[in-house]
Amino acid sequence: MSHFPNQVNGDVNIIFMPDNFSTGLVDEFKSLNKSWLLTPAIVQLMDFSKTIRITPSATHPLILFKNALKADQKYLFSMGLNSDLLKSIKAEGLDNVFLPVGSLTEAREKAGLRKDKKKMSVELINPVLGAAVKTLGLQANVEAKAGQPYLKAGQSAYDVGIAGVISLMSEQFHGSIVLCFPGSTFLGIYNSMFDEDNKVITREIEDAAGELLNIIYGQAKVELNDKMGHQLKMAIPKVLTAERLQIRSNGSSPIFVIPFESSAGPFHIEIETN
Amino acid sequence: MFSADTHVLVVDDMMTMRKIVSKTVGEMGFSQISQAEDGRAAWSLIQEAEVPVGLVISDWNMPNMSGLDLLKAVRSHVKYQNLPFLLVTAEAEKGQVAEALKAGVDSYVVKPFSKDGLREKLEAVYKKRCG
Repeated sequence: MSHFPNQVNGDVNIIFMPDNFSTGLVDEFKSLNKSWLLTPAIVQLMDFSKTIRITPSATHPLILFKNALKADQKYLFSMGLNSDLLKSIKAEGLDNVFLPVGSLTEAREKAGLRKDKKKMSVELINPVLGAAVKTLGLQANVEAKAGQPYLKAGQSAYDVGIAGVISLMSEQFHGSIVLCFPGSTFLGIYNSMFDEDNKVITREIEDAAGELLNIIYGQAKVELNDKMGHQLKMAIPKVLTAERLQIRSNGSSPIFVIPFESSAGPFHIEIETN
Repeated sequence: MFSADTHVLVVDDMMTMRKIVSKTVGEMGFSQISQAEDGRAAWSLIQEAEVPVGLVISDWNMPNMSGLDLLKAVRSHVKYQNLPFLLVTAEAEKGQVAEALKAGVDSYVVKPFSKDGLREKLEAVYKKRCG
């Protein structure tokens, strides 16, 4: 098994560095460089989060790899270096070889690979979709199935009676996730969650829309932050209710809609980034 | 350590989650369940309860005083430093888990969770405390 497993994610190749990058691993690293150079990735990002030691002789192949990438107008960055390693890299003047960054997003930005608003929203879709299905299944015993996401144009196909809204705040982008239910769907979900038979949405029941979104966001955030390198912050959801809620955006950003069918009825999630 | 009489304190700013957790532990057989809507209210209740609190199940992300700050307050007080404490969180990022473990949490459960999932975590807390 390779000591340097990697994962190509679009224009970034993440290389998971070993706990001890020793002289004995230099040849393997050099030989893998060639295959990494052949990937479409513009950014090669070395993840040192498990690394506790880097032998001085191991830094030479890094310099060679960096130069080869540079000739191809590609970039090498590192992340996850612990404070001791960072200190010794600085002391040896190797900052410009390792080019430490805090996240995958920072590496992409430094390489000039800024995302447009549409791409950012698309990246949010799968983690949010997966989290919604899991949350409703585990917490409310409601089976939900996502339909094909689409760009919002006009109004929802049904009346939205209750919605949970959460603001997305990170250094890279702002936006929102809105969880929209027709009143009857939401009552069905709530009744299933507590094995009750409520007929109207009370204040206590409204609270559940915020909590469900809170859980969905928390799940999605882990994937977006830990696996995709974003830096989304904690947020507290707000709940909106009305007989016919109209969810409108203030800005010009595209809004993606993920429609769902569930055992309690239809609902949808809107995602916007700006 | 835990029995049906164990006084369980459920802490969450969201009414729904307090209800979910209280319902689940009630179904497990616990009969004495109190609720608090943030860490500050919970800390007062722990110190003033007539029947001593024997188990805390607390949310992480709350206004006024977070679950982590409540845990730190509990662990820093000699009288409560061994009080079983389970954190419930929608966040399971590596850094946060490490922070909670460092502060002395017995276990944590990530939302969404099933009844069985919560039960398993409580059993783990029981085993940890009873050796």
